[in-house]
Amino acid sequence: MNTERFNGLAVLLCLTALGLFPATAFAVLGQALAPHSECPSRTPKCVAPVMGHLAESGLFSVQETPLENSTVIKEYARTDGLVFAVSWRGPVVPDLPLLLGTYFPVFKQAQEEALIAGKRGSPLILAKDGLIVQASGRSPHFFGYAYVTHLVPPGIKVKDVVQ
Amino acid sequence: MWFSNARLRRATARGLACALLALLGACGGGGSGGVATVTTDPPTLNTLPPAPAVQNKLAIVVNAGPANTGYNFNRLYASVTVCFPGSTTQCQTIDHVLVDTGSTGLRLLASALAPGLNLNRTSSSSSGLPLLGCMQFIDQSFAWGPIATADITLGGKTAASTPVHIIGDPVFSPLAGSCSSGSPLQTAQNLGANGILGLNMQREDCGVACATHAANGVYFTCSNSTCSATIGTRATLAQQVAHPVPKFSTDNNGLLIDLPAVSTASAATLNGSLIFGIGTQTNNTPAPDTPVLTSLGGSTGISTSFAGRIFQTTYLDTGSNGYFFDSAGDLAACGTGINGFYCPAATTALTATLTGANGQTLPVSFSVANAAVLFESTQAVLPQLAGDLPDLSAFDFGLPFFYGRRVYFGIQDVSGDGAFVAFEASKY
Repeated sequence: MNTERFNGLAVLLCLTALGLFPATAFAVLGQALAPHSECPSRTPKCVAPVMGHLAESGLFSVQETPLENSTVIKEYARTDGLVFAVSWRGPVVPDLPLLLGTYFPVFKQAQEEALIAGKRGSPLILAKDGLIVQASGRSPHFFGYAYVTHLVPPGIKVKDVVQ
Repeated sequence: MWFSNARLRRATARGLACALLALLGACGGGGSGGVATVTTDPPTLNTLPPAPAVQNKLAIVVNAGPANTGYNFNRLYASVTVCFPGSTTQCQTIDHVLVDTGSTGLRLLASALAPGLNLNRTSSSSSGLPLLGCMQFIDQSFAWGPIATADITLGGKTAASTPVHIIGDPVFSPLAGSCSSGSPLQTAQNLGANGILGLNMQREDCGVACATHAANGVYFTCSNSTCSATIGTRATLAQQVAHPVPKFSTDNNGLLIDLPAVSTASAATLNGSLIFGIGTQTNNTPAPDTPVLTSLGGSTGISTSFAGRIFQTTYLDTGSNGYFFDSAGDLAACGTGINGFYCPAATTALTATLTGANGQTLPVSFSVANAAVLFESTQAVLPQLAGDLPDLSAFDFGLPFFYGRRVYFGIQDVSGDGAFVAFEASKY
């Protein structure tokens, strides 16, 4: 596993080192948001996240994590702390197995079906088993997001929120 | 030096592949490197083909793609010859390489390469171990594998000693987790091609970011001598997978793609030309006063105005198989099974306006037909295919845009300036 690239993992590792939460508790889609407000100085690969709150909506909060490769990950959490959506924008697509967590196998199977069906060179737009993933771009400008339909708070249009 | 002897390198590579796969419980019986079941004869070498009469021209075609690779639509292919640097006999002509103005440099499936081609692999300057590349694409597939050096011949033009990307190499595929955006491009079946010829406006596939930062997400090397893991690494500009055209001795400032117009809703095949150089020959000189949209390289600098909205990022991308943009609900989405495409009840005529970094504007008219009906044709050429784009800041003019046009791409110079696009009617 490559910790230089996947800073999310580095964040996980440094938090684990601090004993803040167990190794499986990195905030991923469908799990509880794990605020990671600082990293110990001895792990230079950690990049401090930016916490944002959308004061007007009161429906969710956004945790922003810039990775060392300059891609920025955002996690969207409901008021009860559950991450209902994640997004990424930047020069490389982040570690989706890490970010999508238990939803990754659903994503991967749907993506492979899409490729064989001829959607090669098309934006990825898939909906399967309640998981929505939409992604596009090319090096060095990627953008995408994923959400779980039954976790989204009422009244939120995810495509607009994640732009 | 990593495996400087080629025979040693192959032997060690087989052992390494077996060792890595053994960890995954996938190594074949006998431990002799039985990596995958191969049912077809391996590709073979050929000599360098004689140069065509018109040296700066390469035939390109939209067709059904390589055999047994599923439904390929709006995919543009060319045949590419690669040689061991300096050789005219240790060469291989590879058909159905995707022509992609959305990426930079040549990437070839390891499974499509003749064993005797035996290209030298590049070593990381920092580790002395193999330099590995990760390139991701619009459909979130990714290309992973070692960097090597080849002479690339396109038509009658040769880019000598050019870094290329070998993808789906079974020795390194177990380490593809470094690049894991989704599905790895490892076979012709999942790529729908034998390789990708990236011809956008940039000289290298990453540029300064990868030359200065180890954690760039594009270049990696082995983190130990047995290559049991990888780590991000810098790659010099000279090591990075490179656009072949600037390496030609002449006709090297850009290229144009000329494809005939398609007057029907679908067609089986479309033949056109990829012509090298801009304004260097009679066959690559635009009509006088052809407007030019300057770009800042890559996809930035050209914006699109459409339906009263501005899309800051514009792609003119032969590697995208349709027009892709957010229609704000104006075009009906197709149902389950063809998610992502538009299925309007009637064919819909639309107009967008491109604006270059130089302020030049150009209108583009196009039509969108019902994708479900288009797909029922099972034809490869679908000029009115369009779909949704998740990114509200981008507009993607894919291969259908190129039908009926000559589209010029000026390649940036060594200082990073000089990228532009221009287009006029096809000469077919």
